[in-house]
Amino acid sequence: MPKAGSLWAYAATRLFLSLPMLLILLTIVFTVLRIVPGDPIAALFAGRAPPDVVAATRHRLGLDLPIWQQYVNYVVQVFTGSLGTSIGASYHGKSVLFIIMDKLPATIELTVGAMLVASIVGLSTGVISGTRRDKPSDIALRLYGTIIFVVPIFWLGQILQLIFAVDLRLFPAQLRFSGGPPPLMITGLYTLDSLLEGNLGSFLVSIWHLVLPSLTLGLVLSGFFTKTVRANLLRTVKADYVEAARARGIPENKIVSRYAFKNALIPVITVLGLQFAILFAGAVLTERTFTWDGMGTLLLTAINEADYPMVEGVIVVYALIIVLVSLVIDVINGLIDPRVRY
Amino acid sequence: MGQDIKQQRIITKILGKPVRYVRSLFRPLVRERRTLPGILSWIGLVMLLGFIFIGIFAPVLVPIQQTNALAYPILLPPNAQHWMGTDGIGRDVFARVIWGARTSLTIMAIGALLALIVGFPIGLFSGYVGGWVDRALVLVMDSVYAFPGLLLAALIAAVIGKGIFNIGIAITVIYIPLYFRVTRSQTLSTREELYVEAARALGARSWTIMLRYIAFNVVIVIPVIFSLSAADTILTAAGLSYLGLGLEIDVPGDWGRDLSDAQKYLGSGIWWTSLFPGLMIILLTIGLSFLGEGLSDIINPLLRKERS
Amino acid sequence: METFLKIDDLSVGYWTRRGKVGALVGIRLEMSEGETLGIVGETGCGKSTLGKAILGILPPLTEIQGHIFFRGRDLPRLGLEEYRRLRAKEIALIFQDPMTRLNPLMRIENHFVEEILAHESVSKAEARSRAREALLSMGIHESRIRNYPHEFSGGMRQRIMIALALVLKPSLLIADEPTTSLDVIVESQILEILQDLKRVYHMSLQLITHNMGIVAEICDRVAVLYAGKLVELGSAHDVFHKPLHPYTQGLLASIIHLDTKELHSIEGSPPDLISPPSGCRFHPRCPYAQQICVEKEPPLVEFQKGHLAACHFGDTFL
Repeated sequence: MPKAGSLWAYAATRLFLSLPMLLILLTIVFTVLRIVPGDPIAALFAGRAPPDVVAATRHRLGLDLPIWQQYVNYVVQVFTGSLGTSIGASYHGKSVLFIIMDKLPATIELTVGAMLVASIVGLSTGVISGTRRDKPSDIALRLYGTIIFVVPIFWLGQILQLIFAVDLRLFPAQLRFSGGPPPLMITGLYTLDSLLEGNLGSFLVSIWHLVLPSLTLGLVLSGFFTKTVRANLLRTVKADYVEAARARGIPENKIVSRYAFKNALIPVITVLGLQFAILFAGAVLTERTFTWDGMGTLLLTAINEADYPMVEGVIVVYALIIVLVSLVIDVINGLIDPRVRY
Repeated sequence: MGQDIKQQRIITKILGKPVRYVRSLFRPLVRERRTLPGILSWIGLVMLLGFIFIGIFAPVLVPIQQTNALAYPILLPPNAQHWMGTDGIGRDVFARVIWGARTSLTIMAIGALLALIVGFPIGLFSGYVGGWVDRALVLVMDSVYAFPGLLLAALIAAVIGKGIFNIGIAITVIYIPLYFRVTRSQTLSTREELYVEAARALGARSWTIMLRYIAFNVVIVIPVIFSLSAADTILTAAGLSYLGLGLEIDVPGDWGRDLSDAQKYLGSGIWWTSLFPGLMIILLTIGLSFLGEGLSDIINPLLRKERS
Repeated sequence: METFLKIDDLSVGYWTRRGKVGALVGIRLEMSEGETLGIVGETGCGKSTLGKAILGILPPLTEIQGHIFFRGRDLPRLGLEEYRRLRAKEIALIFQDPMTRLNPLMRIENHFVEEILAHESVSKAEARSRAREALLSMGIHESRIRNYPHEFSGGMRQRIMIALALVLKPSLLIADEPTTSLDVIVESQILEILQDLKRVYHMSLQLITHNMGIVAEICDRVAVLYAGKLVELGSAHDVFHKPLHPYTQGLLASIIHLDTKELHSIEGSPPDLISPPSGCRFHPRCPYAQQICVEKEPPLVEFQKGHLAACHFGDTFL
């Protein structure tokens, strides 16, 4: 069967095409941090350190080299996977990559949970809205989609905390774990690690802590799904192939699921790539609201401590993830839509 | 045809008759007032105007002293004197919320204007020159667009420092790719128009023609792009403040910081310092997105019709 | 014996912003088993609406009045599920534009399997082998059965659509402009297939077209629609040799023959169906129009045995 092979070829092409995007993002980060008027080190230290310390730091980080040489060093550094050592108070002298790898799982756990909430809520509301055009339920859900999308994430988090943590005491408002030591670090994902450990109790505790943050981030994101799924369903339920399927006596529920919905999903998945940007930005805010010790918290700590290599490292890892996500989205699109593989 | 006559026309078209421009924007709004997009736009517009009113007249509405630390006893629940209560350092929440509108709108206006100044010429240039320059610019802009706007803004804010103007600069990263895209696509389609080709065949300077028609077409869509992304910039600016990267502590109103401050009292069930600033953000962003979605539903088909 | 297909006073209308469009008005038509009936008329005369009305797949909120009796059942009054079971199993429809009628995300095989399983309780393997047979009979090799729609040409897709329409062996096939979007060579292939169906399976065929040439080639009887109304009905021989309605005469005159020296076309354009002309709907374009044509709507009269027309002056053309 030639299909699998061509899918791999397609994925490889996409990977190759995503390199420029990565390079552009790296360059933008580099530009912002080094060519912006004023010295990044001076800006980050904000006059709190004596000049000789600033100069020493600058030399150690290679910031006294010509710009082009700095750029080459930086790109080489990123592609060899070494992100330098931290100069901040919290992680002084530790490997930036190591610290990031330690914090990344928390963010992944949060974003995956949020994506789950967003797709379940968003797809179902979108389908209801799109198949009941202009009925009261449609109008209500469209309003939901528009409003929830512009609700500040941190505020929604606070309100959910007030209701479910403070008032009803159903869920914890903070942290990833409580009531004992967290599961041993295998993947760093508490839910997965506790299962690997075979400890159902700590699995439930991890999920219990994950509920409110995921709900916060997921609900805000679901508005986008509601709107795009609806718009695309309205388009596909009128498609010629849907009419033809009806003429062949295909049951209505199958027409909706296999014809209208599946075809409506393709553009949704394409735009989904851009939603990941909002997801990661939202994760930074959510982490702060729920004292969730992930990448966002790390970035803020690094900014506050003028931990220059750490700031750069975190942003670079975000860029890598964004590029990776857009690659995965492309491949998923290739899996669903046979037309894009050629 | 003389060069300056044409230039004169451009100027008349864009600047000389702002009244006509405003009227050309409002005519579809008035005509579509009974359709759903029309109703949404009007609701959004009224809400936005309300906020602008509040923002401009904040000093008249609430004396700035009420936003000072320790002006009142701390953490008073809402009552007859303090409609929205007082916060953890004794400021009147209502006063903070009103002054916050002024701050938010200022940042939004700075951001939108700067992004227009940057995005419009780049988009025009890119669409006009075409070729690999265009492809490269599109790739760059798309990459920026794909990157989390808040993170990029946070990075810029961390480097250039706090302050209203600086946050305005930081949030342009959200606007610039949008202005770029729209200007570029308008340029591309205008370039293929028959009248441009005809004028070119007659030996006219295509730059001048381009500028005239594109500028006009782009000017029409500016309100749409503006209001579509305005909600996003309000949220991003508030987010930066919430993360402690936004404004100096002495700014009289800052919704994001208010929410950040409210965080530590949530555990004791103090809801008013969180609820009201959040509601203000939501009201403003809802107004903006109603206006944006309504306008784009009204204006996009208009543009399409004009072209066909 | 009950009639095979009997359309009795069928009217179809739908609402637009400007008002109600009478897409079909008072259609009366019969078809017997094994017959090939051509439905002809210009674009927008309601001929596609007729096919969709028989299958009950008109968009929601379309108003349907009158009866469509198919083997004793009045179709517009069937229950939803009963109606669904009838589609493809007893009456099948093939469309004008094969390029957009297949689900781009589904393999060809699954289109068949899904359809067969929707109507019959057979195993998946059984459904698959029947799919292969159906495709082979249309000249499509079985190695391509797991391909996706975009991997086929327009002509092949139309053959796939025909195979899909025939796999359940329906007794009536409605073909809505099956060759309009295809090139001439493919067109003749498709027409040959349709003639085979008639010859070998004695299938009843309703061929909707604007091409009089195709009608002459394969139809037993012809129904001419103009602006939502039936204006002439008769055997192909009668209609072609002695057209009784000026509109039919115009259509026939516009056929291009090898000896055509001058191109003929009917003056004017089809009327607006929201506010159709008074009296005879054809009068603004009719070369013979009199005062009566403006005032009075001509009834459908049987001028000869089995040859009906709706013209005040039909007998003058006899």
